Amino acid sequence: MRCLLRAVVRRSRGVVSHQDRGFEGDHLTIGRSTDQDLELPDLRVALHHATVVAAGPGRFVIQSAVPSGIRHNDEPVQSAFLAVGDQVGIGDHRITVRPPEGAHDLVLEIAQVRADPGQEVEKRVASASGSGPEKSLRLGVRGWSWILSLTILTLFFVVPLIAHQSEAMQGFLRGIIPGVSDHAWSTGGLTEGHRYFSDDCNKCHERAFVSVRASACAECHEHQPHHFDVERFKVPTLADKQCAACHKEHGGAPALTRQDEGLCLDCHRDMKETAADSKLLDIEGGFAEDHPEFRATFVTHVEGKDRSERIEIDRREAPKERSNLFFPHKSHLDKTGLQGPDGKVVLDCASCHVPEPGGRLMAPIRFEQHCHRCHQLTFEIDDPKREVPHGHVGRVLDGLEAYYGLRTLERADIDTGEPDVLSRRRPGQQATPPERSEGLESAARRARQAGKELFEYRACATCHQVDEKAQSVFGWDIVPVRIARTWYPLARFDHGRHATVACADCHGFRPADCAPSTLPPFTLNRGVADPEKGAADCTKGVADSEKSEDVLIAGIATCRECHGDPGAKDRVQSTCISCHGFHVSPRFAMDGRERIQPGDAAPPRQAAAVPSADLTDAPAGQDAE
Amino acid sequence: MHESFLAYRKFFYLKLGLGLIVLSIGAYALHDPPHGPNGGTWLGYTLGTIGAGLILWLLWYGVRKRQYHSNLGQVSGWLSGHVYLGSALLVVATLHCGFKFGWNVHTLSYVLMIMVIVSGAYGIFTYVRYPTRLTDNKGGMAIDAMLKEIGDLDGQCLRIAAEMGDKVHQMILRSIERTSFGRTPWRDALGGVGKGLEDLAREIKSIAGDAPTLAPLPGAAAPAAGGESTVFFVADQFASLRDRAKAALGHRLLDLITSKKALVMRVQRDLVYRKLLNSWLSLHLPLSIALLAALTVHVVTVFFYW
Repeated sequence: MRCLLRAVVRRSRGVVSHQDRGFEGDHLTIGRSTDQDLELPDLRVALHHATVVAAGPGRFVIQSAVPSGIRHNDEPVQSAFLAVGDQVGIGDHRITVRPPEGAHDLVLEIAQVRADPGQEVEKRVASASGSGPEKSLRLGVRGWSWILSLTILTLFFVVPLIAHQSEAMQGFLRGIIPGVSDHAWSTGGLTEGHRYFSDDCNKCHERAFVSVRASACAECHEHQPHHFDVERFKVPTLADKQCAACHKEHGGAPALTRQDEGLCLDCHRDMKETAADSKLLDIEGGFAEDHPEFRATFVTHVEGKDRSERIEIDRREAPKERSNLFFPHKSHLDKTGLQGPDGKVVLDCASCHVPEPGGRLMAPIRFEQHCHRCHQLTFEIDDPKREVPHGHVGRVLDGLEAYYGLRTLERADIDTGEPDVLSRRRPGQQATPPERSEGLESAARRARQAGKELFEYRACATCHQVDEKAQSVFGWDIVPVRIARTWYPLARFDHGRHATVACADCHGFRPADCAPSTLPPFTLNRGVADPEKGAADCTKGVADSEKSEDVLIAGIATCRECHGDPGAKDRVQSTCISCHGFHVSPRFAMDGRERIQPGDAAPPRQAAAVPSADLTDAPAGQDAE
Repeated sequence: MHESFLAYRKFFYLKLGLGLIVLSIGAYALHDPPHGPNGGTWLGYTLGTIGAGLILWLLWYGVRKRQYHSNLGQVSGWLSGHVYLGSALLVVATLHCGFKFGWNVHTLSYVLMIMVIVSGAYGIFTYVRYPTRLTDNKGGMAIDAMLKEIGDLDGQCLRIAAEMGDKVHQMILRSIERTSFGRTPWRDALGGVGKGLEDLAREIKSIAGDAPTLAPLPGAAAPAAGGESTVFFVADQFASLRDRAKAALGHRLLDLITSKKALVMRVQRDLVYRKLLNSWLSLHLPLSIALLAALTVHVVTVFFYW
């Protein structure tokens, strides 16, 4: 290699001169010793410190010969390729690579940097403590502040806000990067029922800076029932209420419905104040202490008239239901069994009372399904398979007339005690019209006779209250049966959720001679002697009920065995809405308009309608049914 | 008499902060909103407003600190309030949200706030701990003077080593070259603690002679190649010395190296303390400003989708 070594000599007054020296050889040695090709007279240079060798045409490598190494462009290294402009520091000498000149393929410029030895150390300290020249290249506190805050503002505010203006972009962001869409603004998850549209914030949040309007809820909940009859009661606190006043979303829990008692007690603590002509009782506080005794709704006989009433279950005179049905539970639940058509049968509650689909209420008792097997509606002893239809007086009588007419005309041999006009004829001889008419009259008399027997002494009269002086064309009428379908129609009682509780724990009655008690009449531990509950021991079970007028339901004390106030540790925590609904008005919707109810027909025959005079409003349709 | 900012006006701000905490917890305990505690109840809004006000006031400390002609009380008073009310903010904000967290911009604000408070708390810790250590470490000597002395010691070592031969000289050269006050990104991030101390420890161990695992030095002509220490090497040299004058030189060299080691350690410690004193601020400040941005987004978006 051909090398030009150019020493920079500083003279006085800042004058600089160069001393050039050529070198030719395989390698260029650098060191403090005098036998080196490039001699650097400095104690910080080893005797032989480094060597420059050719590594190919125009390429040179400098290699350190000592462990302390060399500084290549201020980086401590053991060896490095040399390029034009590179600076190599050895001790206090700086060797700069200059562009090749003429025949020299490597030009090195050697200068001595007279540095205070302390300054050298200081420079390294300065760079270590971050006050060196490279500090300007890094982000300072200010830079990081700007970057962080602008990133947050952009990602979580500006971008979602821009997307808010464009449906397509909104959809894209929500679908692809929900974290940078308005989803990042959501304070929590939605309740189950609302999740299916949780992607679309604007389903509810229709306008910016305007709280969610009831109109948004009405998209789905258009006919949400009101709390009461808005025509009769003016309650300003409930007028123009937005749904969101009570129903808070994004709670992340199933807490969309208010569970607290305060919501109800605000008004129901003093009903005279809230609605002067309401007959609802005041309630002071929680279920465990302050709820009034239950009032069962059923038809009762007052002052010669049947009336649907709500009657306290614990009033001194035991309540009597006027259901117009004769049904003694006692004889039906006889443990020794009943004589059925196929032998002895032992009945229990479930023989007749089965839950309806959904399991909340018990299905109504049907004659055909539950009674007919034993209570057959036969009327002719020599025709034991023949029965009258159940449920309609006119059809019974029509059926009887048709049956006996046909039999008379067919000259069936039946002894009815009537003179048989037609059987006196010779064979093959046609009956004359007078004869036929006489025969039919005779059949009608027999039908009436059978009807009287059925209605007044046998089949019908067994169970039904029969009006024998009815004004109808038939002469008899069955007084409609009005069994309470639910004793407490204003509460939601779910039989399905009480499946582990025995029927007898809640159903029983208080005979006329049994004084009311605040203790639970029916307990979960029936049969276990409990002196404290002695006062209620005069209550009787369903199997002891001889009359259908017995009201076979327990009062609040029995519920309190298991149900307590919110916060109770040894009870099911129950608030108002555990049993009662808020949106219960059958007539009015939350917007004050009348509800459209397609299936709003007259209540069925069995129902004991809630007396409207006693209530602010009838309960929801299903409860009144 | 100097009064610490922590004890400003007989712990006035400590009492104020504790009062705020007690009030908030009391109100939270008595409050039983229908849908459970959250930022949207009356108490939620109240605590939120107090919290946001506090954050703005705490941020204003940065402005007040730079206003030398302000009439708004002493900076040490502001700092006292900054510390105690900033700590109280932790309780106020947590009760504001009613412990409801999620992957959203609201919780982002909360997390940033926690980070700011934690970095601030670390700041108080450093302010209490390190200034005395810094002063003790310097022992009345300026850092500039120490550095100059290190440089002088290096020069003296080299002169003696040169007299002792090239091998000793190379050893000392290496030792000087490796006296590192280090710069690596990792060390910068840690405020010069991690690698700097590690390097220093290695260096000192190498000087003290108990570091057998030094990396082999490539192309090294030194007898220490493979990891022998400077001290061992110098000691070896003594053994081969018949010349008493040269042995005296060796002793002198060892003395110099030992003094230098002590000085380097003190400089390094000084660096570390100064870095620790300042580094928390480089977290505290950007996070505070980021918190301001997130808080703004939080407040606006809560009412945007009301």
